[in-house]
This record gives sequence, structure tokens and C-alpha cells, in this order.
Amino acid sequence: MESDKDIVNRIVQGDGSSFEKIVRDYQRLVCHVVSRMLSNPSDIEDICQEVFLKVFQNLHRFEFNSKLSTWIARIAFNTALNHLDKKKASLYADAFETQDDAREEPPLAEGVWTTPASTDDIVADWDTRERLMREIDRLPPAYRTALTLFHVEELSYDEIASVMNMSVGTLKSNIFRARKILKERLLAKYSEEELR
Amino acid sequence: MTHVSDEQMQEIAERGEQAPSDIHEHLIHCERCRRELSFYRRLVGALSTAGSETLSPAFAGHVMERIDRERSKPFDYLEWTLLFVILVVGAPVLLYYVDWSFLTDSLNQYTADWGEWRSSFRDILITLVDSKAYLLVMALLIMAGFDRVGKLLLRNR
Repeated sequence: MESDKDIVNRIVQGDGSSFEKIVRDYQRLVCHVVSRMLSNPSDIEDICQEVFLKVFQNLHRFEFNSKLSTWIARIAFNTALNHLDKKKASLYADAFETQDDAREEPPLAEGVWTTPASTDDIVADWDTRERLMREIDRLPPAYRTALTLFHVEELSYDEIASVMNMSVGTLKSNIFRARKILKERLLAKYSEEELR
Repeated sequence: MTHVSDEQMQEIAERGEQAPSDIHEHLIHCERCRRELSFYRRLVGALSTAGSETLSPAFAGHVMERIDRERSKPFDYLEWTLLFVILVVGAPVLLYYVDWSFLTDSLNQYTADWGEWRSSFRDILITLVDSKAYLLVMALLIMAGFDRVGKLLLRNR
């Protein structure tokens, strides 16, 4: 199988059509970064295209000091960040939203919290997953992106810190805080008595 | 032992390993921590499937079309040619064929009523105009203007 390095070298030497493979291989990663950063779905495809255009234009500068995926994810992150700046949105907006909104939603099915080993698996339960996705969407863009790169794309802390241009310590703190917020918001829909 | 901290629970859930022995001991006796850890384990599992966003099947094709459009634009070549022509043709015209004496005259008129103490400054200005250094700066500014206009015209083709 052809390595990223071979493909990149071919593209840099003028074989532009090989770039389609790069797009196909990394479009999911780029989509995850961009969609987690931006809340408006109509912008996502345009911004993703812009990301790949920048990747193509700057490919000759890539020196394989990092993985190609990390480099592409960094371009995606910075492009989405610029877009956020233009819209005057904050990377950390709504981080400390009150629990009041969360309590307005109807409670989750009984037993998720009280019977942890039961068949009520949070992954299998579509309704619960929907709610989880909704809660993720309510997190600040920086938290959503960090969580997605870590759990879905399975990038290492070092790689994500490089993508998001922050220290590993700050990144870990963001991820831990994001999961804690998710836990609190999800559990706010259950009887709090059960937590004690 | 006090309750297991939130951070410790997340680390255990994240690594997917058994809890260290001291924490394991605590978990045996503490239902609250056991439930919280269980929740975090399920949350970590659920998060790994929380990436369902997809782009349209035609996305890669759209990107390649956009790249082809960008590559087929002879923009840079034309831009540099235009700038070169302006520099080569424009500079001599501006410096040698345009009579710039009106500037010196205006300057003399404008500074005529200046006091003695300012005369040296006026002299410097006039020297600059006479030596054409000023004209060179003007020429460069005009060429930069032409360049900008050229870029605009090319972009809007």
C-alpha cells in the first residue's frame, strides 16, 4: 500500500490528481474537526473544502515532522478558528452554562444510573445517544473538538495539543472538564437522590 | 479512604483498565464511586461513537474541481508580467518624460512665507525634488497603484 509520503511526493512533483486520495483518506477527520468547531451546519462543507484547498497549496511545505493527519487536522482547526473569529464566536463560549436548561428536558429512561451493569447500555440506547450528542453540541467548541479528536479519531494527547496549539496540561484539563460537564448534565436529568 | 476523585475515575475509565488496588478496595465498599466509575466507562464508550457527521459523497469531487479551477487560473503569471511591464515602461516615463518642475515651483511658492528658521527644511525638500528622489518615490507609489488595479482587473476577469 502506498504511504502518505509517496502520495505527497507525487502531488508535490505535479501529479495533482493523486490529491483525491488524500481528500478521501482525511475528509472524515477534517469534517469532525470543522463540525465540532462550528455550530452552523451550512458552513461545514464550504469550510472543509477551504481546508483541503489550503492543504493542497501548502503541501510542498510539509516536511513530515509530524503525521500528515496531525498537520491536516491543525489546518482544519485553524481554518475553523478563523471562521469563528469572523463570526465573533468564542472557543470557550457556554463552558459554564447553568444546569437550568438541562433540567428542562424530560428525564432519561429509568435505571441508567442505578443499574450500571444492566443491559441499559448508553451506546445501544438510541435515545440516550441522541441526548449525549445534544449535550456534546452544547459544549464549547474547544471541548467538543478535543473530545472528538481523542475519543473518535483516537489521536494522542500530544497530537491533539499540537493540533489545537495548547499545552498537553491544558488539553487534559479541557477533556476532563468536558467529560465532567457531560456527566453532570446527563445526570441532572435523573433523580439527584440516586447520586448520594 | 476518601471517595475516588473525578479525575482518577476518568483516567481509569479512559485507560479501560482495572482500578489500582487501593481504589479497587474502595470501590468494593462504595456504591457511589462504583456507579460513577461505571457511568464514566459507559460515557467513554459512547463518546467513541459520537462522530457521525459525514460530508456528501461528492465532496472529494467538489474539492478536486475547486483545485482544478485554482490551478488553471493563469493569475500569478499575468500578475507578475503586468508588474514587470509597469516597472520597465512606467518608471522611465515618469522619471524622464514628465515635467515635474511644477512641483518645485509649487513648493517654492508654498514655503516662500516660511520664517528664516525653517529655510533649511525647505531647502531639503527642494533638494529632494530636484534630485528626483522624491519623483522616484512617487513613481513607486503610482506603480503600486497600477499593480493593485491590475490585480483587481485580473481577479474580476
